[in-house]
Amino acid sequence: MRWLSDNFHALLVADWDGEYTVFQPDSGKTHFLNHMSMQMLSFLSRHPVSTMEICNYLSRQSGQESDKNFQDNIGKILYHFDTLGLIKKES
Amino acid sequence: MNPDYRHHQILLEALKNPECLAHYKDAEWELLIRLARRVKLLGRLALLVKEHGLWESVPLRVTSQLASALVQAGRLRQSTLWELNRISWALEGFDTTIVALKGAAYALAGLPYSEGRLSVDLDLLVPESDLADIESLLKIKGWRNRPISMYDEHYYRVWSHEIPPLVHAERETEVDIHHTLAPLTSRLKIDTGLLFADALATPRTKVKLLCPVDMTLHCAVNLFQNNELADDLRDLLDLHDLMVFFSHQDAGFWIHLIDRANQLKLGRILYYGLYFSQLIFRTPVPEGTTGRLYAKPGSMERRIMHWLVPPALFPQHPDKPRKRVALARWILYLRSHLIRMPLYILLPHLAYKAARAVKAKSKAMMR
Amino acid sequence: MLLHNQGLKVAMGPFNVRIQTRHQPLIKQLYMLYSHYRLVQDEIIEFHVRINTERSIKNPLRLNVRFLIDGQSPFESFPEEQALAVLEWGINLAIAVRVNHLLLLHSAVVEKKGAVALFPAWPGSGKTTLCTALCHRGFRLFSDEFGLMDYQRGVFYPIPRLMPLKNESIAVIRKHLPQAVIGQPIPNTHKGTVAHVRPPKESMQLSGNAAKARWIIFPKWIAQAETRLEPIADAEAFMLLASNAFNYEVLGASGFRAVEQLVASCDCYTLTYSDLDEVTTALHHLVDES
Repeated sequence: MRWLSDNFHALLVADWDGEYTVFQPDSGKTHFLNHMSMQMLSFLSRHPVSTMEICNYLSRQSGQESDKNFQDNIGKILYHFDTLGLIKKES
Repeated sequence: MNPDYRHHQILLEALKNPECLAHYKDAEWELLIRLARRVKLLGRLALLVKEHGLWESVPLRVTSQLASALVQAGRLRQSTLWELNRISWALEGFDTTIVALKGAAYALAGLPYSEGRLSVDLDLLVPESDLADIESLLKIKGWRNRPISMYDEHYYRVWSHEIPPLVHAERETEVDIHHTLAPLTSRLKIDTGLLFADALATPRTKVKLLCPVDMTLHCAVNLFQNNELADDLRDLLDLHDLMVFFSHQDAGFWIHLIDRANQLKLGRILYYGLYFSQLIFRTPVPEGTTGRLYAKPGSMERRIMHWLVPPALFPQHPDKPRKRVALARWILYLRSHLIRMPLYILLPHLAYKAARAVKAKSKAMMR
Repeated sequence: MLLHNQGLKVAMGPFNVRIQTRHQPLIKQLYMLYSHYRLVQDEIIEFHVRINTERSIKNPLRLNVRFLIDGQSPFESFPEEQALAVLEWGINLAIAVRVNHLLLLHSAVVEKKGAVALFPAWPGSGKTTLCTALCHRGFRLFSDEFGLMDYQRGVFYPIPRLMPLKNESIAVIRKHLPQAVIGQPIPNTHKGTVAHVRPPKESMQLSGNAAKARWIIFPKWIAQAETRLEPIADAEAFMLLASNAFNYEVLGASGFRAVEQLVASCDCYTLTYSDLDEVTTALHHLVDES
């Protein structure tokens, strides 16, 4: 099962020194994202990737170890983004 | 038709012959805005002004109000379509049919002027057998019933044709899920199976739409069966728009419309729809169309409705409401409930509703 | 009197409002507190409001007042002593619900040196009291309630109106500004005791002059606190400002861009204070040094 973000290019992004406020045109909602969340979305916009690949990528980017805690957090963020319609499961 | 009152004329002319707006004086604009707002047609008016190249010549105090209405309509439309998107997402993998109704359907069907339509809730039609599962699945994904009293909950589930409205925890759009188009307890029984069988797919979503004649009939049912008609001019205009739009696409539309109305036993309702749409908006209904309807209302009833309906549909003058209009509306209000419920249920229900009238009005005003 | 037939027609910033009522006590209060409003003749009016009186159902000896806009009543009736408060709230509601061609921030707004300072509202901000003090001491009043931003032109429009002080603030302002004209206190409203301050004449006269924003200051009144202005991170200011606008979401992408532009072009601070003299001095200093 893989994730992707196919509407990333449509987002309006304001970059406040590593913190982001993001406008999602299809829902009309505005989101507050930290650097890692933004990286995750950007990573998912290129092509579909599995949860494991996301964890590995973000672990490398942030220098944090991809332990159970880290992976659980990534899982929660993915679930939340899916609910918001920022990402979706590959069909 | 000659409107009874000057203010009806100011509004009707603007809707039917927008070129006349070029000659409207300040006092007429001021009144027109107030009237259009009352019947939720401010967005429509804005589109008409733009379409006729009048935006630059219309007073600024008017265009700022028109612009505000368009912004609001755009936002409501977006919210409704996004809600539909999220509902499809939540029901992913569950094999059912979801048919969009009313405002969302008009937007998806590309009905002209739908960008100016102020439509707040999302109305959906689903198979009765799937209703319980759908409600459960949505609740798992974050939707909740609007907090309502036990009495109202009973009304919704048993007497009406809806489960209590759902709202997602993080959004405001109210979702009304129906399993039929007329109340369970009314004498009107619409064969939903036929509606589903002829429903059409949409290009980019999993949601379906009623076929053109069914969408038209539903609009008429909603107007003449379910509602109290007060300030519902917009809904009659929807009916007119639908008939004009679909008849342009398909020359056989009128014939199919009558056949379907007969098949679904909606002859009486369609009769009124055609009658008032022609009377007020001069809808180009071909000669002899209504002649083929099986069940037409009797002439006495027709005369009463002719007297009652237009004053109810048109907005009252905001500064000078007339008692006669209030009476007409009261009679229609009773009628609409009589149609929905037998008398022994109706009277206790009305007593309860009377006690809550103010709350509903203030909510309506907020919109 | 005017109010019986034609109604009182006044300009409130960019909007024209017609007020009708037969309630004598309200008419007297309007005579005093609305005296600086520009009267409107032969212009289109956006808001037609009315205060009607009616007998209370529960207690027929009492008189209630009801707010109507375009003949419709958006909320329940209130005791007659609250007439002025009900009128002001009703107009606030009407503006907040209908105006979407401008970004409506829920904030106090004052001006000095051709630029505007925004004080977004949140519980405990004391923005109205602060605003009342500032506009009597060297700042021009735009509004204590609405930041009206024309997001296409990037400017704010003044809409100076009565400023409703609540509970203890009434005594504080009476003491701090003996020259301020304050209406009769109205007890037992849903916000406590309320008294309305008449906006300064000069602010009313200059209400046609728009200005761009330079400072966004999130105030918080804390008893006995020293006056402190501290910079706040842009991303945080963005989210606070957006959640503080009446119609941010309605405006969609335009709302997003407008708030982005504001945060990018303004200096953003949090402000804690307790003493009105001290905070007034501090804010003048901030403005003069910029």
